[in-house]
Amino acid sequence: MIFDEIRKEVIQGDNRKVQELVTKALSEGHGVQDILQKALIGGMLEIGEMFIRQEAYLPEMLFASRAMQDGLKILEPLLVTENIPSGGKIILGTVKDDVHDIGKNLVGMMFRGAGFEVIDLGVDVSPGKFVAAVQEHNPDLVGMSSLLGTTMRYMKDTLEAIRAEPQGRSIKIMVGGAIVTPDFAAKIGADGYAPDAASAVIKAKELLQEK
Amino acid sequence: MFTGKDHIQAAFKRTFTDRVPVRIWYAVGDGGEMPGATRKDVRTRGDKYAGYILWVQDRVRSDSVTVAAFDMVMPAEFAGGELGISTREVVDLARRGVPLLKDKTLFGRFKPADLMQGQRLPYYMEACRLVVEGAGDTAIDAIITAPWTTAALLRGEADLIYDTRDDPAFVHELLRFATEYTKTVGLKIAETGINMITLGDPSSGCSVISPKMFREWSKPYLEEAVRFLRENTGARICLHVCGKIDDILEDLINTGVEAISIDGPTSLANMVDVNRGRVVILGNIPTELFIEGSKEQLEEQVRYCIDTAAQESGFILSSGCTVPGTEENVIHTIRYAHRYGRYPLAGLN
Repeated sequence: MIFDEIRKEVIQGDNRKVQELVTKALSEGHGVQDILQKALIGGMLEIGEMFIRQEAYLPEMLFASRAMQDGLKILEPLLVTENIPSGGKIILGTVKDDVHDIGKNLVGMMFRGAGFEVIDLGVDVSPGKFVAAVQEHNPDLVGMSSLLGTTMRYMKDTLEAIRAEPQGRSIKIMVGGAIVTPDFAAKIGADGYAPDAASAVIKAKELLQEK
Repeated sequence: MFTGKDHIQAAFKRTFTDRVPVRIWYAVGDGGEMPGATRKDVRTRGDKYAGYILWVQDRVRSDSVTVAAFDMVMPAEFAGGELGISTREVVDLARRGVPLLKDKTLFGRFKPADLMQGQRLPYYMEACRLVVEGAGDTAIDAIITAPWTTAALLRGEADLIYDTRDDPAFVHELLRFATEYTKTVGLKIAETGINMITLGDPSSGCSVISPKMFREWSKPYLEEAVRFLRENTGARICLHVCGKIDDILEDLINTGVEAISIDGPTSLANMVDVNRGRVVILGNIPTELFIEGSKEQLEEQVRYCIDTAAQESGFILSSGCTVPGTEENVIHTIRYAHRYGRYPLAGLN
């Protein structure tokens, strides 16, 4: 079955083979939604579960994400014409003074794969920039990441700045990063914490159901 | 009366003073603004950076102080003058999180240059010399970047990982350049009379790369740098890898370093078990507790670390990583550790 082959190559992170197989699946008449959900996202979910079980590491996730994204590029023109509803809108960024974005980028790829609209503010994002983006885009969620002990304090500053805005009170705020713990997330008043990119999507969906 | 240096040296010599050694890492700016110097002064003038470290240390009284020679401009200076990129542009790229080698074809113009003709190494060396002069009874540590992390700073972590599959020859070339950088900086910094060089390698941790990738790509170059620095400097060589590193502890011990500093997410008990006394262990009060933790939580962590790892000599109680927290929490932690860590250890008797 071609979907099994695509899933396997997503997990292996072979982006060229994924593109070939996605093209082949389309030529065989498989539906765009089926290829996306059963093959590409199916593969990402599988590697994500392996990551949660600590059977895979970040590089495997990165290679798989790239393979999924490259497969998605072939489907995107067709997806636009099908007018698929968004899973939600999330603003992402690493906090002030933190330029380590590998985890944040991976989270972004996972959210895009799960059908979210992702607004990536990049790195070293000040609380003011987060607030301005919230005002401009009116997201469902904000996700902040920090790798360093020296920068994680800005998560609290950013969270408070967003909450101080009327628009920001109903937005769910998630935090993550190698050094961030669930205790820390709870203490600063975040709505959610996720230890990795795959869990972040699951947590985000839970939070949005609460809204 | 033992000095801070006596306490730290005892851990390396596997002897005892009157208490467990205590080292808390401070990052620039986190001790507040020093009177008479802006943060920019501290980051660009060696005398101001040294003054800042001594100003904080005067109140904190850690057994060891750290000069963090860890930035993105110095590797760019090592890459030479043919890049056609000014220091200001490198700083601007760093601020925006854009690595110097975003376009890896630029690597073709890298020609290792004399770092003493640049700005950053003389700045760090001046800071080290002045700290050695001003805090001679304290152990003095300088952090420099290890090869894989230097390569990741230059290329970007994600692109470097992709390159291991897409262009492995380029990664080896870049790592050879990065290893020369680590060796050059370590050698010059050691000339200032510091006691310990810490190879900072946050990009080698299991939060970023897999153990397999560490063994294949990072470890061989790290071993080369460690071997060189042990043979050519009088400094103790320590390694710090941020995040969780439980799956590569044995590999890290086998790199030839004399000490390993572990971060909060790594299990101290596991490290003690795996280590079996081979290297000095520094660790690992979770850094986030210095921001949001209570004094009771910090005390609990001090007790846990000392009870877990200080039965024998060869342990230095430390923050897991550089501390972002309030000075009050740091001072409280150090004073409490001095009492709780007094020999014979009360928690063990």
